[in-house]
Amino acid sequence: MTVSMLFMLALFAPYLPSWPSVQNMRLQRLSDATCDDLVTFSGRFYAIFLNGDVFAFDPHFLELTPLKPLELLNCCSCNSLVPSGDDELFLVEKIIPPNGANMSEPPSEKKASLSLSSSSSMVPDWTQLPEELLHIITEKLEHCFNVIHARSVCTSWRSTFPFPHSLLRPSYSLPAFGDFPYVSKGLCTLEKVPLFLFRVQTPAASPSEYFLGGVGRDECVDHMELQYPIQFSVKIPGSEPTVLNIRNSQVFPLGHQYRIMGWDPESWTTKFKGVAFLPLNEEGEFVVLLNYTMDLLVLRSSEMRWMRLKETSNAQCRQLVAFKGRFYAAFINGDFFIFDPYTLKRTPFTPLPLLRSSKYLVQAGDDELLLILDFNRFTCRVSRLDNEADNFPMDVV
Amino acid sequence: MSESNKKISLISSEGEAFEVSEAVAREFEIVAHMLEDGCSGSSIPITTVDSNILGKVIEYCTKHVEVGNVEGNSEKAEKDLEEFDKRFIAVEMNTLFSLILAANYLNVKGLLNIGCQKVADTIKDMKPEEVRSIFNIENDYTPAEEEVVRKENEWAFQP
Repeated sequence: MTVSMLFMLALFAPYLPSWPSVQNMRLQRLSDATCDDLVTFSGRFYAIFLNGDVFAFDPHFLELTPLKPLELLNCCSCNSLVPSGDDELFLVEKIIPPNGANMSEPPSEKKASLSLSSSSSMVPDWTQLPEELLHIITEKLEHCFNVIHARSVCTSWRSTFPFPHSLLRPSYSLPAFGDFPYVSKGLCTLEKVPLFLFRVQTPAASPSEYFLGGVGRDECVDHMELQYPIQFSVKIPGSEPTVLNIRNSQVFPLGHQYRIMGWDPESWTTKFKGVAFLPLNEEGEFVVLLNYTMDLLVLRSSEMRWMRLKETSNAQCRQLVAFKGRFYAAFINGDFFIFDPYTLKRTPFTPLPLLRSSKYLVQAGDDELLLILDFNRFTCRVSRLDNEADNFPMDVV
Repeated sequence: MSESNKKISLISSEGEAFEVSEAVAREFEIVAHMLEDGCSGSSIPITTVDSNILGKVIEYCTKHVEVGNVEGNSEKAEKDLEEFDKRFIAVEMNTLFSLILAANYLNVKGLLNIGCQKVADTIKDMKPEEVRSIFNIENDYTPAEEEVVRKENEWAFQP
């Protein structure tokens, strides 16, 4: 890339007043890919890039005009621009058969006259793709951030691809619980946060860096810098802020987590140790179970009042999750209960022979609940919930 | 084997006839329905699809019928078919567009599926402006709308 860029800069140099503007132009307006071929033709420069971009450069005004190449040049082809006489410019695509293809066929060369006008009747209008086909395409986009990308392309795609439901963050205003058992007039916010695992692509030999957590809109007003062009990004706060985008990271959607805003269950100073949420019906009624101090508190949307859950363990709750319509709670003395969201009755269950270990419940997507027994810092036993038998018979690891 | 010996002519929009076995023609669901509805004619006009694209769709269906006929479908055959699909759909954008529309019209589900997958794969990992240039789509956002779009793309990690 550097070599070809220098080559381009060298060609530009005689026409430019100073180098800094060259730099600007390179950063803002040139293609991301390596320049494959560069020619002069009819008083303009023409450059073709490995990703299929074709640009014409005006040498006097330094204007860059993207040209629509007739075809998307696939990655296994070499392209060159060939002026033929003074009047014609050819785009030559040399197609190398992919590995394993019949090698007896000689590499074929296709010649296409490069359309120099900005529009051509041969070029299909992708915005006119029938809506049902666009819906099939959305389903194949893998994760919601790709949908955000597709929505950013044009107004008609924006209206066809709905904003991903999974990225919405519904929130509920609940009575504050900090002074429990005293009733507080204040409010707290419960929010449904989408969870993602990001794997940052690093050079081959070094280990990948992972980030696991929720994402939300970047409300920060003073942006680090304006991004041109529009590109999906996730800012990771810290002393050295990292910006993830779809190119430099792999994205794994992991479902959702409910959080009480402003309370950090990981903090040593808080008595709040987690929350779980279950919807009760289509009308939007719900039950919230809260792990606070030594108690489990419960709130029904019909009452909007925190109450102590009476029937529970004597010990403190270590962990609380909502899974497939029921609450699962693990306690520090080894008790393990399932709570029905309607009756709030507990069902004890002995998942595994009691062992001296810490227990963690980990929800993997919507379908799996894993029980992790942490014997020491390096040995874990992981079992998957058998939903019908209500136990954890299967050792996964 | 009598069925597969029966030939049917599919006529492209240019009037060119493609002779295929009935099994291949039945891969076009639209044709399969015609045959079931008692349309006994041996030539079927496909007026909205040109020769180039019709030829490709037939190539796709022929391959899939061939592999489907092999007894005891082995893993290797499935893998070969996957490879075939991958090579088959590695076409330039104009052809892809026509192939998808043809697959939709003729109701060739497998082809429609890999075509749409190819489009999705092209959109993935690309900046919107690259998608625009590949798909020849104009950016029709006003500056105000573009600001909304930009905001929608800015996210923050909340551990």
